[in-house]
Amino acid sequence: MLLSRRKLIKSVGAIGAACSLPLTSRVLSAPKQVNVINTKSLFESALDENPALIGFSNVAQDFKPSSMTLEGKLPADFTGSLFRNGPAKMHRANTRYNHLFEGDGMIQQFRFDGGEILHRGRFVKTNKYVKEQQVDKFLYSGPDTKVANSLAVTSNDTVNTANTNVIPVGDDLWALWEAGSPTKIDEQTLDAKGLVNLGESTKYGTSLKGLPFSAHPKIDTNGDIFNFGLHPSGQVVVYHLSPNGMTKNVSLINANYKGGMMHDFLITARHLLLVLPSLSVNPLKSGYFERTEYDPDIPMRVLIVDKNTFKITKQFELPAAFVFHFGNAWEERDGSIRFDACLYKNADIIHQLSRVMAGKTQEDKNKATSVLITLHTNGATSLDSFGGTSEFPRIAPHLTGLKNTYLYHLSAHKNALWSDSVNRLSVDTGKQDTYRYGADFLVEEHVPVCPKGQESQGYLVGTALHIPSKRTSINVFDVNNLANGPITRGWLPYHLPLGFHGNFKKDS
Amino acid sequence: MSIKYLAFTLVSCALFLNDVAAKELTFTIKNIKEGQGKIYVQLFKGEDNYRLGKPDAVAIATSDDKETTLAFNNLTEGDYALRYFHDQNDNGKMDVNLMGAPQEGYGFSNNVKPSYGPVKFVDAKFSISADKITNTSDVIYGE
Repeated sequence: MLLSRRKLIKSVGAIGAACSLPLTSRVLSAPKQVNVINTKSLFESALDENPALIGFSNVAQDFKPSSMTLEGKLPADFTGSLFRNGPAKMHRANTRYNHLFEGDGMIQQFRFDGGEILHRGRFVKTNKYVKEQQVDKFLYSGPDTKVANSLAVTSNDTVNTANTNVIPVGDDLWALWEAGSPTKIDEQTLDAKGLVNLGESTKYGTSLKGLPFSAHPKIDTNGDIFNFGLHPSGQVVVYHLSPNGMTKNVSLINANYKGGMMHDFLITARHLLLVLPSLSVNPLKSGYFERTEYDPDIPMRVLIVDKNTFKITKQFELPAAFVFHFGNAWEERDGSIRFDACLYKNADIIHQLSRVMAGKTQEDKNKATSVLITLHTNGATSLDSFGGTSEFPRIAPHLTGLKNTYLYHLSAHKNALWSDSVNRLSVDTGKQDTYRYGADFLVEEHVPVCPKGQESQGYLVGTALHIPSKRTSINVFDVNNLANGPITRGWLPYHLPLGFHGNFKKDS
Repeated sequence: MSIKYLAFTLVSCALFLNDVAAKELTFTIKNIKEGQGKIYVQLFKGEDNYRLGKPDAVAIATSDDKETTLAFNNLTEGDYALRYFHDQNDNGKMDVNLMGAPQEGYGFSNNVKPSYGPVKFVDAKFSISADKITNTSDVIYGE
C-alpha cells in the first residue's frame, strides 16, 4: 500500500507533538568546584538550623517491614491498611530537586491487624527510578530542575514519578502522578507492575497511553472511577472507569484553560465540576512550577460537565483564587450545586514548595481557608468562609458526590511550614472539633474510615512527624471526639518524608 | 550491513536536474523493532519547509532488520533535516494518543530527540555541501 503524500505528511507531522509537557528547566548554575552552593547544600545548611526541615529530607532506601510501638489499643473493627504516597527521593549525587513535586514517589503502608500496626515503605520502581538508581544520579531533567547532560524527556511518562496519591483499583493499587499514566502497584509486595494503559482491552486501544491522569480520581457510590487530566493546550480529558479500572468512557473537553495547573476536581450525582484556578504562565520564566503565576484578573471558572455525555452543560465564574484541593460536592433539590474548597488568595504556595527545597522557610500569610461555594441555578454564586486555615480536606468516602455533613482537614495555628492540627468541620453548622498536635509536629493528611458506612461513626487516621524525636507517628481518632486526642498512636523509630495523599483499604 | 536504496520522490529538486553538483545523503536508521510494518521518512530543505511540513523528498523503508539505510541523491547544497515514523501496525498512519502524542516509533536526523518540547530544525539540521553525507538516528519508542 502506498501512502498518499498528504497522509504521510500529516502522520509524520504528529511527531511534533511528541512531548506535551511545556517545560524547559531552570539552569542550576553549579560551578565544578568543591564548595558548590546549590539547592542541596543550601538545604543541608538550613537543616542544621531548622530541624523541622527534616520532613523534606532525602530517603536513601526502602523501609523494611516493622511493627510500630503502640500507645493505646486498636479498635477491633479497625482493620485494613492506610496506603500513602509522596516524594521521597529528593537528591542524588550533588543534585537536589528544586521543587517538592519533583521527588520520586514512595508508598507507605500502615497495616492495622490483630491489634498491631505494621509499616513498610517502598519507592515506586518507575522506569525513571530504576534507571537512576542503577547509577545513583538523576538522568533526566525535572520540570524545575535542570540536570546536566539530561537524557531526552520524550514524553511525560519519561519523568513520571508516581508521587502524589495511591488508590486501590481492583486487586491492585495505582500510584498516581498527574501529568501522565497511573503506575500499577502489587498490593502484596508494593512492587511496581508498570504503567497502566487506560485503553487496554477497550475500543480506545493505545489512544489513551500517556495521557494526563490526575492524582485525585473520585470514586462514585457504585465504585466507578471518574477522573480528569489537564493538557497544556487547555484541553481537559475526562475519564469514566469501572471499579476494576477498565475504561468505560473518555472525552476531550476544550476548557481553553491556559493556567497550566488544575490539581483536583469534584463529582456530584449527575455532574463533574472542573474548577479552573486563576493562574497564568509567565513566559519569561523557565521552570514549569516557577512560571505558574497567580493572576487576580482571571476569574476562577467552574465547568459543569454531564457525567453521562461528558458535555459542558453550564459554566460559572467565581472571584479570583487559587486552589489545590476540594472535599466534596453535591446537588441540592433545587438544582443548585454546593462544594467546599481550600481557597488561597494567591498561588504563593506553589513557589513556597520550591523555596523549602533550598531550606528557605517563612511565615506563610497566605494559607488556604475552607469555603463552601454554592452555584445557583440562575447563574449566581455565593461563598461562605468557615475561617481558620485548611488543607488536605477529606470526607467519608461513601458520600462522595452526595451531601456530607463533616469535612476533615488539617490546620496550621503556629506552624509556618506545614500543618499542626486536625479538624472536623460541620458544613451545616460551622462547628469545629480540633485536635492540636502542636508546633513539634508536622501533621499530614488524615483519612476518615467508616466501617459501618455511617458518617457519624468511625475513625480518622493520619500520620504526623514529631520533630524533636525525629519519629513519625500514626494516629487513630474517634470521629466524634478529635479534641480528646488519638485513641491509638503508633510510633516508628525513625521519620518518614512528608507525603501528600493516601487512602484506606479494608481487608477483604 | 546491507544498504537498501529506496525509491523516493523529489519535489523541488526537479528544477535542478541539470545541476552537475548533485549531492547524496546516506541515512541510517537504527534500533528498529524489526519485522513490524514500514518506516516513512521525510527530508526537508530549510527551516521554513520543516515548520510547514513541506518535505523535499519522502521515502518508505522496510523494517526487516534492526537497521536500515536509505540514500537520497540529486540533492542540492543547503541545510536539511529528516524525520520519520515507524508504522508498526502497518495501518498507513502514525498512531497518536487522544492528545496527539506518538504511539509508534519515530526519530530525527542527528539522532536528536524531543525533550520537554518538539525537535527544532536547528537541532536536527545538517548541511549538505560535500558530495556524500551520512547521518544516523535511533528510533524512539514510547515508555
